[in-house]
Amino acid sequence: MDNGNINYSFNSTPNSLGALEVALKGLSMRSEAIANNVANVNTKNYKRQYVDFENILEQHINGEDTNALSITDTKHYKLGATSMGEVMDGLEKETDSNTEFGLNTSNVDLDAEFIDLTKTTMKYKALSKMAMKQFQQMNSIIGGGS
Amino acid sequence: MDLNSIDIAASALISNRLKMDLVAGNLANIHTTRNAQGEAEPYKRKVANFQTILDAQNNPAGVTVDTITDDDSEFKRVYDPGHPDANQEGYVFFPNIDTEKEMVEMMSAKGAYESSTKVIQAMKSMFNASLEI
Repeated sequence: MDNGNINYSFNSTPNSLGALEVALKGLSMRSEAIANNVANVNTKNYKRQYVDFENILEQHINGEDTNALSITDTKHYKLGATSMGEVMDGLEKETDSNTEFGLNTSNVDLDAEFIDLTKTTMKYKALSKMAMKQFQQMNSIIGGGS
Repeated sequence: MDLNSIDIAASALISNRLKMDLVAGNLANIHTTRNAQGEAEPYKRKVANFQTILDAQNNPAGVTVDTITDDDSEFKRVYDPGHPDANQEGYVFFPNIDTEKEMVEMMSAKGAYESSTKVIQAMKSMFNASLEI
C-alpha cells in the first residue's frame, strides 16, 4: 500500500523517525480529541473521544502483531499493521461509551482532560525535539563533519 | 499537525459567549412584564441548546448553539395591586427567572470559556514546538 511515507532506513536506529512520526501524529490527534471534549463539556449526551496509539505502536515495534496482514487491495480487511505507514493510517479517534453521563451534560471530566492535555503537550514537545536532533545528526553525517 | 484543534476551541468560545449573552439578557429582564409591543406578557427565560458539530466523516468537530428556546416553566405570581400590569385579583406575573439559576449558568459558561482558552494556549505551544523540527 503506497501511502507516501518515506522509509528512513538509513538512520542509525532503523525506523526511529517513522516511530516518532506516528507518535507525533497520534499526539496531535489526541490534542484534537481533547479540544473537542473540552468544547463539548456542556453538550447534552456528548460522548468523550480518545486516541490510543501507544499500544499499537509498541506492538508494531516489538513485532508482536504477528497476525498482521498486508493490504494489497482495497477490498482487503485491515488486520494489524505491517509497516509504520499502516500504523500511521490506522490511527483513529475512539468514542468512550463506558463512562456515565453527568446530570444533563456530557461524560467529559474537565480535570482529567487537562491532565491529559498537559501530558500530550509535554510529550509532543519532547518528541519534536527528538526529531530535530535526528535531523541534526543526519545533517552532520551528510556534511562529513566539515 | 493541522490547526483543527484551535478551530474547535474557538467554536466553544463563540458558543459560550452566546450563552453568556443569554444569561445577561435573562438577568436584565428579570422584572420585564411587557413584550416588545407593550402588551402585558412576561419575558420568558432564554436557554441555549448546545450541539456537537460533526465533520464530513461524522466525527465531532466543535460545538455550536443549535437553537435558543424559551423556558416554558411557570411565571412567578406576585401580589402587587398597585402595579400597572396587575390582573383583577391584584396579581402580577413576573418572568420565570431565578438569579441563582442564572448565576450557575454563568459560572458554567465562564468555566467552559476559560477551559477552551487554555486549550488554545496549549495548542499554540505545540505548534511552536513542531515548527522547530
